[in-house]
This record gives sequence, C-alpha cells and structure tokens, in this order.
Amino acid sequence: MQVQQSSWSPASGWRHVPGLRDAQLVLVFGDRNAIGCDRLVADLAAAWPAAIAIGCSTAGQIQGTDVTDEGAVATAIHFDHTSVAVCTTPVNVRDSAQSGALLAERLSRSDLVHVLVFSEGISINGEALVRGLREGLPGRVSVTGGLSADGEHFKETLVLSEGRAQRNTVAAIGLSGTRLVVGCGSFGGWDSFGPERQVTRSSGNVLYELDGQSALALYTRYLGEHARDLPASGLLFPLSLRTRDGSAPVVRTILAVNEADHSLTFAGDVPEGGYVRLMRANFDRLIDGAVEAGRISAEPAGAAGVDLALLISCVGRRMVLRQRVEEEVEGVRDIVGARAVLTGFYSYGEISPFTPGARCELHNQTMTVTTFSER
Amino acid sequence: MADFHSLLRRQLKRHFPDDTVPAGLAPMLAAVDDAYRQFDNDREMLERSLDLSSQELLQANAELRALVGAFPDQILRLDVQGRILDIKGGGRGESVKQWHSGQLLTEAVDAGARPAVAQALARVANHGEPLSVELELDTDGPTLRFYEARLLPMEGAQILMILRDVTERHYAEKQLRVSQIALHEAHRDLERRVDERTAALARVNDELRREMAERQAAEAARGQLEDQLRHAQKMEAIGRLSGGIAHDFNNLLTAIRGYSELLLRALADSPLRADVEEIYHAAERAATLTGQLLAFSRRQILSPEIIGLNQRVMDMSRMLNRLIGEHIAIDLRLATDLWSVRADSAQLEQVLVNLALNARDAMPDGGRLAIETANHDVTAARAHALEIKAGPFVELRVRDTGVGIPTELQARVFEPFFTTKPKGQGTGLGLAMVYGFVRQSGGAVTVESAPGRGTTFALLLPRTDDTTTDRSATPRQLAGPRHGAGTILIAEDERALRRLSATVIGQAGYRTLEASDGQQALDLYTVHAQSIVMVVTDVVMPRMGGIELAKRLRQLRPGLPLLFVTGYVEQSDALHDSAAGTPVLLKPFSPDALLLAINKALLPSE
Repeated sequence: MQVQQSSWSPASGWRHVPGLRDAQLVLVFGDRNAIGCDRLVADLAAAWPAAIAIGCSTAGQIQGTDVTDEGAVATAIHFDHTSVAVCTTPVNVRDSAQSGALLAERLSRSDLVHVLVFSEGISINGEALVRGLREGLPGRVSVTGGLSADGEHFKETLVLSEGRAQRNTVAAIGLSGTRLVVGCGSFGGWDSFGPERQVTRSSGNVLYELDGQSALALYTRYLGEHARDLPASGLLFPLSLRTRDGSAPVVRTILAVNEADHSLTFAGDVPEGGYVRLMRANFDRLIDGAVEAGRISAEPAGAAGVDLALLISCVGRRMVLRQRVEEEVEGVRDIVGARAVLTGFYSYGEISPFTPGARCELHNQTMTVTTFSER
Repeated sequence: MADFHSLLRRQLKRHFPDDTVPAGLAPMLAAVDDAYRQFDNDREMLERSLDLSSQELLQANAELRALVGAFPDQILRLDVQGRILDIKGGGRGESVKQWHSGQLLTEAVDAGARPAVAQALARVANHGEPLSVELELDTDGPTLRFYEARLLPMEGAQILMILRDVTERHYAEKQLRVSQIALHEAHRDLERRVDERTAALARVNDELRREMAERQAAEAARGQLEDQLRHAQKMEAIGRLSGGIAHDFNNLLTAIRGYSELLLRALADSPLRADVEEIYHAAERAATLTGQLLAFSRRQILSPEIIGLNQRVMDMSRMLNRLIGEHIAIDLRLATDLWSVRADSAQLEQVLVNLALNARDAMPDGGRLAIETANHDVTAARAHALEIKAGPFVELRVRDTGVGIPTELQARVFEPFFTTKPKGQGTGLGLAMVYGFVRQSGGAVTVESAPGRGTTFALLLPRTDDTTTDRSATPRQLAGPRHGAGTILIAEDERALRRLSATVIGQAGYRTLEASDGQQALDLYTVHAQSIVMVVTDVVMPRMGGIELAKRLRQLRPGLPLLFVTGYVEQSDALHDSAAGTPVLLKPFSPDALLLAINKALLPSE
C-alpha cells in the first residue's frame, strides 16, 4: 500500500507534481469553493486517471499535522491487495435511512471489509443514514466517515464523487480484500454540566422543548451575545443525550436553527423522553480524547504500523481549540507513528464505532480516526 | 497595536516601553491577541454557564427543599455508624420523640426497636442494598406509633432513612387480616354449603336423569310393542284374507279334484286320461298351496303330539344336509334337559325344511347353518309384545351366515307371497307357513338380520308338561268305499261341491237329496225323513248354517248320523265343542275320503 499527498488551490493548482499515478483511490478534502471548482475535478482526473476520487467540503482539512481552511488536499492511495468500489446517491432529511440502505446494497460483496462514507452535512439525518447502512451491511463490515461541512457557515455542503461535486449527496467507498487491515476509534472529551433535562417535544432530529421550555431559549440564555452566531456558536454547547437508563450517552450538536418555530435541528435524532445535559469543552480533555481515538484505531495494525490515518474531527472542536487545534492532530500523529500519512477534515458529524467491532454510530464533537494498512 | 487586547498592550508596553515593537512580530502578536480574546470569550462563557447553572441549581435546590419539607415522611441522613447527620421532612403527623442531629439512631430509638435498627443499618452498610423494616416507636404524642423505615445506601458512606408513619395502615392491615380471616372462614363455609347444595343438586339431577332415561326406555319399549302389535294385526288381517281365499279355493279344488278322480276312473283306457291326469295334478299342487295359505292363516289341520325337539332336529339333520348341499356346514347346538313341546310333527319338519332352504338361498357361496335349542322363560312384557302367553317356552333358533335381510324388509318376510327370490324360484309361502304354524301352535317367531351379517329365525314353542303319548291310535282301517242304501241329504251352498258330493255318494249306491242351505235341508228332511239315513252338511251356509241344522235334526231324530264338511279349522274345533261326537270332514276332500267318512258315520247305526 502506497500513499502520497498533494495540496491544491484554485489559483495555482497542484503545489507539487502529483505522484503515484496508478493510485486506485484519491481522498479529496477542501473548502466549499475548492471542492466545487470544476478545475479540481479535471486536475484530479488528469493526475490519477484510473483512480476513484471521492471527498467533500470541510470546516478545515488535515494534511499531515497541518489544518488548513483554503484549497484542497488530495491523498492518492495505491492498494496492493485491495479493490475499491464507489457508489453515489442523493439524500435528504426524510430518506436518509433509505439512502444508507441503498449504499449498503450496492457495495455489498463477500469480501467487503470496510465502507468509507462522505455525506451531505446539513440536509441530512445522519443517525438515520448510519442506521440504513448498518442494517444493510454484514456485522463484520466496519463503517466510518463523516458529514461534509461548510466552515462555520452552515449554508451549503458538497460531496465530490464520480467526477462531480454536488449538494444533497452521499457517496461511499467499498474496500474489499483479505489483506486490508482497518482500525477505527472515536472519542470526545467533553464534560456535561448543569441539570439533566428531559426532551418534552421533538420530531426526529428537530428539538423544540426541554422540560416544557423552549430549547432555543435555553441556548440563547447560555450563549449570551454569541447567540447571534447560531447555529455555529451552538457547537460550543453540544448536548449529551441519554435515551434510556443505563445506555451510553451520545453527543448531539446543532446543525440549524429555525427562529420561526423556535426549533433546533441536530445531526441525529433527539427522541422525546430522552434526557440531555449541556456539555462544555475542556481543552486538555479534548486533546486527550483525540489521542485516545488514535490509540484505539491503531491497535489492529499492531507492530506493522499504519500506512494511512483518516482523521475526521468535529467543527465544534475546532471552534473551541482554535489555535490549539493542531495539538489534537499531533496527538494522533504521536500514536499512529510518523510513517503514517495523515489526512482528514473537520466535519458536521462523525461516523464510526467507538471501538472496532462495536456498533457504528453518528457522533458529534468527537475525533474519529480510521487507520488503513495492508498485510 | 492600539486594537490589541488590553493585556497584550500592557505586556508590550512593559517590554517595549518606547513602542519599539519589531515589525516582524506583527503576525505573532496578532495570533496572541486572537488567543487572548478567545480566552476572554471562553472565560466569559464559562462564567455565564457557571452562573446560570448555579442559579438553576439553587432553584432546583429550593424546589427540592420545599418538596421535601412538604413531605409527610421524615428523611434522615445517617453515617454508617447510624449517627443522624440531618433530619428533613415530616411536614405533618406526629414526630418521633427527641431525635436530633448527632444522635446515634440505635440510641435514639426505643429499646425494643434497637436490635432491628442495628441489624438493618449493618445490612445496608455491608451489602449496599436498600431494605425496609417496621418499627414501633415512642412519639411526642400519647401513644406508640408504627413506622416503616426504608434505608437506602448513599454516596459517601452514608445511609438515607425514610421514616413513614404507618400507624393507621398498620391497624388497617391488622383489621384487614382479621377481616380476611373472617372472610376466609365465611368463604370456606360458603364453599361447604355450595358443595352440599351442589351434591344435593347432583343427586336430584341424577334421579331426574334416571327417571328420564327410564321414561325414554319405557316409551321406546312401548313404541316397539306398538310396532309389534301393528305388525301382528297386519299379519292377522292378511291371514284372514288369505284364509278366506283359500277356503273358497278349497271348495273349487274339491270339486275339480273330485271330478278329475271320477273322470280318471271312467277313462281307464281313454286317450283323454293323460289330460285329465294333468288337471288332477294341477289341482293337487293348487291344494298344496292352499294348504300353506291355510297354514299361514292358522287354519291348517294340525295333529299335535308331544315332541322332543332335540331328537327331531337330530333326525332331520342328515336330510337337511343333503337338502342344502355340502358347501354349507350344519352346526347343532342343542340344549340339554330341553323341555318338550306339543306340536304337529310333520308341520314342524316342514318348518325346518323351509328355514333350511331359505338359509341355503342366502348362502350361495357356502357358509354355516346353526340350529340351536334352548329353554326360555318369556316375561310378561315380551309375551305381550309377541302376543303369546307368558311362561316357559322352547326356543328353536335357525341361524345362517348369509347375505342377511335389509331392515326395511324384515317386517314383511312372513307375509304370504312376499319373496326376494327371482321369479319362479319361490312361492313366498315358506316363511308364511312357518309363521302360521308357530302361531297356530301357540308360539311366536322373530327374525334378526343385518345385511352381510346373516339371519336368525327364533321360534318359540310353548313348553308342555303333558307326558302322555297322544299320538292317535292307528285308525281302524275301514273298508274301502262300499255301495250303500238309503237316502243321504246333502246340504251345501257351493253348487259344484254339492253336485260332486251327490255324484260320489250316488255312485256309491245311495240316493241323494240336495239342499243349498240349512233351511232347505230341514224342509227336505221333514218331507223325506223316513228314507234319509244320514245328513252331510256344510257348516257355513246362508239362512241356516250346519250347526243350527244339526241341532234341529237332533231334536227331530236324536240318532240321525251327521257329517259336517268344512274348510275352516277353527270351525272344526267349534263343531267339536257344540256337536260332540259328530264327525267332521275337512275340505278339500277326495271322493274316497267322503265315502270313508260317510261309512264311518254310518257305522254305529249300522
């Protein structure tokens, strides 16, 4: 397995001459303008004519330990023993589960090992998408990926696949072969605070009331003057959601705000009857969380080491960490080793099991690391 | 630089007092400024969150305190030694006396409750599981009260004890238990009474069912008896009808046979003799049929004698074997100590032959024919159904393994001319003869059969205690017809028979006078009394019958020889009763029989 990275900008194209021309797969992450640029698609096709190029718009793309906001980064991968298939389908909030099921059906084959999915980031029920994928795939097949992003704007996200960058699209890669080793891990590092509140009115991933009070009013009160920056500022106060007694809480962040009906749209379902608490960041714990995710993901590769690490972190983490954001990338680098090529992006939602073999779920506010290597 | 964060401006002022900040530091200073501002934002947000959370916590705390304060239960927080840390709640009700923070619970409670409290505290502290105990504690009030103490383990090696006054509930439960016991007793009493009533009801029900079953059985039996009675009445009616026909035939056959005999005597060498012989034989066959019809109608002339049925069956078995063929095996199952019967031996043999032939026809592919005898006491009810007298009977059962008789046909098998055999193979008189014979002998016959399961005919003949041999002594051999002298008055309403009698008697040398009824005969006798040596009279005639005629003649001439001629066997019995000693000649008779009877009647007077 060989991996080579190149950066690209609309103004100057490739920063270095791209290598690894016989790559089968190119992962491309960039800002919305770069991903939506026709020239990028043409340059990708020219540089890797036989490769499947797939990627999405981001809230910051990762190249090595650098996190950049402009241009795009392309990571070309040549597998020695692994075959690659791609599937792309439209998606929206209502039929997210069906889209997931369709992808699972199209990509299924007996030696399928892993599915990498990149999705529309706003008009989506990420939890339903993951459910559709999970129910359509055999339990042995792992799924990771993320929801595309649009910086801190929350206006429009794009998915690049099969030569086109489109809105309301979900694309997935199926990796098949007996010698591919995939590891994955996800960790947050946020602390819950304040009283636990019950979800008293919601519909799917749209939340209206907590303890009979407006959820939007609660956020406005806690954000103070930053409430004007909703929904982006809502990322500073994600929700810890517990749907039933004893279950592990999941983190939910705001994707959109509707002032008209005082509702908040989250990346996943917020079912009525569930209990939520506000969460706040703790810098050290966020970075520790990223390191923990890297450690879990690197375990399957063992001593042979990791060739490629795909880091998908939450835009909320970036907004909190600001200038320290690269510390969490460096933390992962320290775990997976200097040989591994690091790529990835800051997203509106992360898709991964907490640990390998666990149930794949949609997360928010986590660092999700997927490692690849071939035996 | 003037736009930088105040802290950064102060630091720059301290390190670069004369505003000599190198231009190359500008990007770095911008980043530091951004970081400071971010820290401020974060701090501001954190402080606001803390403040808001604190407010919410305070409010929740106040609400909780209000809630707990309004709670009727007392809530005690204890350490693991059972020391009271604080007491909350108990908003109403009577408080437990003299409890306060710092007190050991095991010392605070009444002496009697201490072991239970100590044990409960130890269990909760050691096992970390909640439990409840009921305590009886002294209060500030006048009486002891009952409490439910619920102990729950808490974080920090503490125990929460919720003390609830359950005095009212305690007494209510006690009262409830008493009521339950009473209710249980009442329930048991009720169940016992219900059981008794149920048993009584069941007995009445059983009795009722039994009565209903008996009634149904009685009704069924009555229905069966009615069916049997109807059948018997039908058979009686058929018998009367066929008997009447047979009687009329007898008159005609007597004339045909008599004239045929006369003709045969006259046509010794004539070519017409063969034709006359045919007429004679036809008349003979017709007489046999008529005889069977009379047998069915119980008008056969019987010669009853005491019979040992077993011996008679054994005697006939070989003949029956030949009769029915070797493909049918005969089983004899004869009872020992079988009672005797009184019956016409020849007729009985004919009965056995008829039944055996029927069995043969029912078993074309072979089978078994069982002939059984048994003693049988017939009950009154069965006797009534069979129209016989109750008492001892000998039963003769003839059973085959043949095709059987369909149920709907079984009631008709004894009817004359009823047959299921192909045309020309049966007269339909065999079983009718059996029926008539048995009935005439004072018995009854029944049939049991089912298609494919054979047929059983059961004949019941009355037992006789008479042991005397009544086989008539061999009749004195009379001389053949002889020529007589004198006038014989013949009274007969059937012209042909009257003419035949006159011809036969005339050919025997007597003169004859003919009357078509009793009155005419009496008139003729009055005129020719001197020459009349004998009167031959029919019994049933118009105007005056034979019995009345005989009575009148006896009044006129007591010793006058008389001969009754009749076709009715029951009349012959009546004649025996009313005119004892007067001989009777039964139709059909041959010319010789008439002459022999006349000779016999004339003998005493000669």
